Amino acid sequence: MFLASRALAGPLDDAHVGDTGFSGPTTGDLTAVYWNPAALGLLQGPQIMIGGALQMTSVSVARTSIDPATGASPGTTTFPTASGGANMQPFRWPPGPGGFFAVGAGVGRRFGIALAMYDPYSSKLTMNGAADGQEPTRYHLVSMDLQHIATAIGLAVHVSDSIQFGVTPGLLFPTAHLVFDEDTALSGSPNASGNPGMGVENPASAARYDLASHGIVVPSYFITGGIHYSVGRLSVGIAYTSAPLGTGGAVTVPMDNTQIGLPSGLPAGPGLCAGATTSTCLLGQGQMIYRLPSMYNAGVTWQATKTWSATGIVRWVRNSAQNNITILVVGPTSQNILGSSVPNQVVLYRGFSDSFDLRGRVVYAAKNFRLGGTLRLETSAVPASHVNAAAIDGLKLEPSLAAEVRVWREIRVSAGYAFTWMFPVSTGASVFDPTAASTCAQAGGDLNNPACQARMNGQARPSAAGDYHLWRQTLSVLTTFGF
Amino acid sequence: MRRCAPLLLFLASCGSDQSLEYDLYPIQLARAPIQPGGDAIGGLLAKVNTPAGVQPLLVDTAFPLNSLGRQGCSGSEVSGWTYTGNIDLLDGWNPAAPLRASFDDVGLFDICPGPVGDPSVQPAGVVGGSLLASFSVGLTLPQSPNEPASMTLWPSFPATDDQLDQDGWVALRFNLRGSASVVQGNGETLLTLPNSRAVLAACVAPRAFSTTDPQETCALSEVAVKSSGENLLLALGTGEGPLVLSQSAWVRIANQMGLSPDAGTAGDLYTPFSTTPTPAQFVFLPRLALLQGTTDTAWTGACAELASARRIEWVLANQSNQASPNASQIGG
Repeated sequence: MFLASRALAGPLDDAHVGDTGFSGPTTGDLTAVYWNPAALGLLQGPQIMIGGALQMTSVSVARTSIDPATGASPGTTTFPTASGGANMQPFRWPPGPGGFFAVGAGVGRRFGIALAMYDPYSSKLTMNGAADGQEPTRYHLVSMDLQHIATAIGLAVHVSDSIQFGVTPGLLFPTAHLVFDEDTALSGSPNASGNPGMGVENPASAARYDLASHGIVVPSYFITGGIHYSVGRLSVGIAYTSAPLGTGGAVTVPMDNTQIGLPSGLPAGPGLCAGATTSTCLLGQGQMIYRLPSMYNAGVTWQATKTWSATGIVRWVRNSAQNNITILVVGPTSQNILGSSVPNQVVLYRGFSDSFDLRGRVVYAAKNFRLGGTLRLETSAVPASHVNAAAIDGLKLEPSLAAEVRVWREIRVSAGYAFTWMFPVSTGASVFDPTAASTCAQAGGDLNNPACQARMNGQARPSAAGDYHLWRQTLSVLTTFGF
Repeated sequence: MRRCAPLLLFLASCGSDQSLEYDLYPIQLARAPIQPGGDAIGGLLAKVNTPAGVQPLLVDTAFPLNSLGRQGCSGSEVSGWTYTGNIDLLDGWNPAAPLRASFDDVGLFDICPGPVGDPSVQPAGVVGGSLLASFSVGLTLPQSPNEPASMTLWPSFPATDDQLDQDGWVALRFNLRGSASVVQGNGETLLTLPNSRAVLAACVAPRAFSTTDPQETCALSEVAVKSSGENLLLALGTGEGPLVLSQSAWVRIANQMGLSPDAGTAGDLYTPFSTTPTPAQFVFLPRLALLQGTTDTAWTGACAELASARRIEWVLANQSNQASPNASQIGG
């Protein structure tokens, strides 16, 4: 039994919320709060679930060379291969990725109700500097840790012996920490140090944006609704989860702890970062605005024999809603750098597409233990030309094994292991065009100009062309108390 | 019912049909004269592309509706009713000027506002408060007519009011007001305009203040008595050049300042709210303090608030020289 891999370093999505290797849209346990609340109607008596996963993700990025004058690929400036990774564990508060807690009960085979806390949208990655000190991915990502803790109440009602309806209204509490660099010389205007012609991706022109939320943020609202139908040996479950309601799917995260490391070429700054007297740091506040996807889950389970069952699951994640991340920053009125030498607004392009997550699962269940094997195939949410260090995604294949043992009369413990391998992605020509910034500036910001459309969308950034690799291991444990 | 449940969930994520395309960079604006023949530091004018060429488009936070005259606004047109149209804002008066923002499928009134500041400045329409409320709007309003004004549109402000306060910005909080019903000429069609006007409390013409003045104290019961100036409520209108006061308000202020109600220079006031000029007196007000409005009945008014703030400022500036008075001496 396992809480398998999550979508790290890519779209904001967790492919395995509460997944123990056995759960899905047709499964009547507490994970149904996420998968399909109608299946809560299958609960029999009270139940508690506590789980967590240890997860290790590794990525490598081999950027294509660039022209030092324009930033276009290829060119004479080469980059060392950059590596990055993220280790996640659930022993923290609030429970982050890998954590799942739920309590609920079935009531007289008429109702099912549950309260759950989980993290349906998450992404975490830190890119390492190369041995020679270069940071090839700095203009797209230095590090990120984006999470959305969901607190939801699921309710299911039996319409008949074979049909249940369910709904889960919930709150999403986002937390975020994002670090990246901005090339202040891209527009071609005199750069931070006032000297034109420092070239593209010159570290002396890089401003480092370090933005983090603080405390509990005003939550967004979402709702999941679903239906579960069973006849004979066949069970079918279908559910829909909305994007955040009332905002067109957008989430606004206050970034109360915002620091901007000013370009080294910039004359003395106001020296306000973190109480440290430094001339190259600016302290302020910001906001990060982005959209979350809606989602469809569907599953079919065929109980072939008393002990063997087979399940097929499809998740349709509407990642195309994630078009960009808008960042707005404000600082003290005493400074005049922000908004002039250093941008007070940054748009980071995403341009995701919908993804499909297909799973085939076989489960053997005896009286006191279960064994399961799942093969998961997920299409990429990020077109190859859009891939960058902050959005590494491709076609993924994930085999996993899980086992569950009844260790006590009311207690079952499961453990599992999953290995996720992303087919290597070669971006070809990157959608990120560093020349768009200067072209748009020369066009006076004309939105009819494709370069200005690119700037507006957040594509006027240093190229992300290159080869990307990702693999991940997950080891998880879940304990279920059934009374 | 089984079919409706998913449908309702779909509908929950649907939005309006209007499309607002803009980037986060400034849009150049022009300004109308502050009065006939005066400096161009008056109402804000964007440049909108129309079939008749590039026309001025008033940007007015106080205007309760959005309009663009379909037949132009040269003066001989007949006003129509509402329609769904597009507004393309340019950065220059040439149709080939850069397109800086595009508002498509926006609900518009087919009417022309009045000339702004000077009879020669006839806007083709208005971007009013109801559309501007779709954004957080940054306006750069130089005091010199030689410096360019600009407008920047953001999806939201980057920080809360409290954080902006701490950073040294002034955050004035207000509730939007001014909803209205609109009836077509035949009285059949009725539209409701949303609250879109920012209304601020103001103290007009308070006496001068310096922290080097002698200390002024008052008891709690004297807070209102010892204030100076005239309390007003003002609608924030970026489409009007000068501060526009009603006659009754001006009479009160003139009394406060010891001036005759006829003081100043007589002239015509051109505002977008009237197609004909309004006789007015143009006068110079020495001081105006804006405060956030409040509906608290215990609030003693903008001028009392200002006087209290001044007493606190005086104490803070002079506390190193003498012992601080207690709260009742400051006046709350």
